[in-house]
Amino acid sequence: MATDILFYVLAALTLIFGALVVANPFSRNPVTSAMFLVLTIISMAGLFVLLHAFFLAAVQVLVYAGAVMVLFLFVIMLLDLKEEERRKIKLTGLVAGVVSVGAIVAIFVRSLLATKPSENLPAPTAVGDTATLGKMLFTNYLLPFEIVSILLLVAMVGVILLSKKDLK
Amino acid sequence: MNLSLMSLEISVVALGLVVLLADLWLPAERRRALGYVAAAALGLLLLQNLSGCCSCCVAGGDGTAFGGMFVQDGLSVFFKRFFLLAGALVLVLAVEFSDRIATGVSEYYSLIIFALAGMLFAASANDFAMLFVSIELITITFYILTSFTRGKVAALEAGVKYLILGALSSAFMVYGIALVWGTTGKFNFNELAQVAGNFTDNKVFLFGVVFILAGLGFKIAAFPFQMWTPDVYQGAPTPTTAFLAVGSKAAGFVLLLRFLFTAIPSVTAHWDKLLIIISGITILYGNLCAIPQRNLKRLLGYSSIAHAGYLLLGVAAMTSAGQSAVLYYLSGYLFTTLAAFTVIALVMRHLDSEDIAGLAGLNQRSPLLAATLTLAMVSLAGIPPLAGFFGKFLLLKAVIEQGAVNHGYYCLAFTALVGVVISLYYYFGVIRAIYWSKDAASREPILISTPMRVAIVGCIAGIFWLGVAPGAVLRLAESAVNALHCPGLALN
Amino acid sequence: MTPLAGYLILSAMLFAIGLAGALTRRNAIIVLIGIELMLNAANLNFIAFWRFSEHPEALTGILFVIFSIGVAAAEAAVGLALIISIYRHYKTTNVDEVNLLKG
Repeated sequence: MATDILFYVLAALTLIFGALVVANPFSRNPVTSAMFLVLTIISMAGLFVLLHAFFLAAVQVLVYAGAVMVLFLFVIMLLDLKEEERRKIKLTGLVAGVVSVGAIVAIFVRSLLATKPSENLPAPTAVGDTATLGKMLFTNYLLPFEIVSILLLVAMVGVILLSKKDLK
Repeated sequence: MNLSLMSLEISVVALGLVVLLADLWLPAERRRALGYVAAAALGLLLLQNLSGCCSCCVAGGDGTAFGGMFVQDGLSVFFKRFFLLAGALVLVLAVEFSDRIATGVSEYYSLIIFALAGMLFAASANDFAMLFVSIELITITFYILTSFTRGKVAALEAGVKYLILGALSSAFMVYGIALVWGTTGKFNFNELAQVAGNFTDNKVFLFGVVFILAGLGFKIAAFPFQMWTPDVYQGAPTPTTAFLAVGSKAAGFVLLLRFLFTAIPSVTAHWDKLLIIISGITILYGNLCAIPQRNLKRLLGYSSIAHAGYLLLGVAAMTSAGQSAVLYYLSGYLFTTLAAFTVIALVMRHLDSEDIAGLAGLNQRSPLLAATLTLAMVSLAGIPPLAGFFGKFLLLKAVIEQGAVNHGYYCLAFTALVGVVISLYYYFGVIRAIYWSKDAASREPILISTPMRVAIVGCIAGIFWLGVAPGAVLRLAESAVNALHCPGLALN
Repeated sequence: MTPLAGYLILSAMLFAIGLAGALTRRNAIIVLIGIELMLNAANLNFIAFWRFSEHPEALTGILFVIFSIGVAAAEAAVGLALIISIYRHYKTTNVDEVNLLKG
């Protein structure tokens, strides 16, 4: 099946790019991390398309890759960050981190496989319909939508106040 | 659709926008007084809410809007009054503090009002979407409020620490909501309650619940998620700290109560041991770490962790007596904590750090402030006849009543008592610094403006009122928690 | 492997990668990027659950993802503004070097 193969390819790309975001053996430069995050996000948009969430795939590319990541890159370049120095890795911290994260994933995957949530579910039929989505966003879900708009206003005011240069 | 239910929230958001815009036309020297106007407006809204209750809220003021995601019941009305009162007092404190804000005083006021709006929405949230957006509105506003005095390095550091840990906890919460929604297919708490019983052995669902509890635990500063509290309390500007201690914690508790007892009661019933352990560790951690502290705000940060533990006693009891005790304790905590932070803001005005030694000679400089801080410490320690004592009494009573079911509750009550005894030591350290320490840094009397004096006297009255005459608030709290157990509101 | 479980395991691994990044890297910007990865993993969960749900016409999961993306954008913006302010004072974005408050 073509979609199955596409899923595995996109999943592998997402994981590889995601791993390169946080632990890149070749470069400690924050710009590299940010660029790999863009690639991760684009492969995830591909997964969204596979799941028939076309609108969200577009939003993912436009908002995340287009706006949020540009903001990240902009700040990294504005601050002119040099490559992060290779510090002595605190072995205890690293081991504790890896063990705890690994334990979470292991327990989670095991419980996921144990419960088999998809066994009793019907075959997928849905299509992400943008018109219905818009209708719901402006009727039943209007309230959280408006609260998010207040949140964006607050964030805008806050960002201007926090990053303004002069202290007068 | 029932927009009139939301008139309070709409008014508060409109007030925030007006304050934000008024800045454009007001001359710089009059912007400071804008805080008094905003506080007065919140006071009027509170009065209107109190008077409106007697006639309509009991009879027909309850209801839901937006398909049941916004609910107006006894619990939300109780907490909305709580938040309005806290917001008004914090605004008065913010005016007092405004000379230390280099830029954007009116933005500071309006951000406080927007955080308040988030808390009001949280009080009515009956749906994961509302829970998430209201909690994020509160938290993101607090990131900004924490770093508002950005000339001070400590405030920036507190802000970035709060932001990183807060964003981490909200990522956990979104993931948890995804798992809970994915397994049950329900967003609405009432609908979820009907099906949650079928999922008590579904591990994916339980994972989701644990992740959501982690997000809420961060808000209330419960044990494994408390790391941010002392740093943020110390570094943030004092009005922000006061609002964080009272409003943000109470918002966390109202969401926690609704989530545990309205949305997933059948799961919560099995988790008494977990709640007992978290509550006990939180109490001991907060109290033990508070002992060596010399910075007053940091000390209150650790003490607020301990108080989160005491409040969790009422949650762990899982009875309506326990839940109403939580509401009662929070009311006492409101007056006590705001009184303490008000005194800190006034006394430490000219000092760089909030070291306890700065309190020396306070008794000569301002007997009113000395008495206020003493009363606040005595009430926080839980000594009769003040608010803190009666609240702790109710919480312990609720826990001990449950002891017959599970003997762990006796251990928990004992732990709480040990915590109270430990806390006496550091609270009385503060009182000793006020009255019995020599070599005061300054002897000049402290001037207190009239609105500030009114707020302080109001807090003292509240501390005494809740300690001596608990009847009225206790009845309100008891009727409020009924809403948790019989969500009899029809879903429209 | 059933398709839904595949998506869920992928999202769990992505979440873990983000968490590991947020916990082990010291650069505040990379920590924020790690948190963005975690939020993305949660969004993937929502969409996968929506696609395989019994009532996909309800679209509630998709709506939540829209809110989550909006909130994440606001969070990232405030975080980056804070990092700029921090950088002006400390000349670093290393969270280990920002440690005035302790005790």
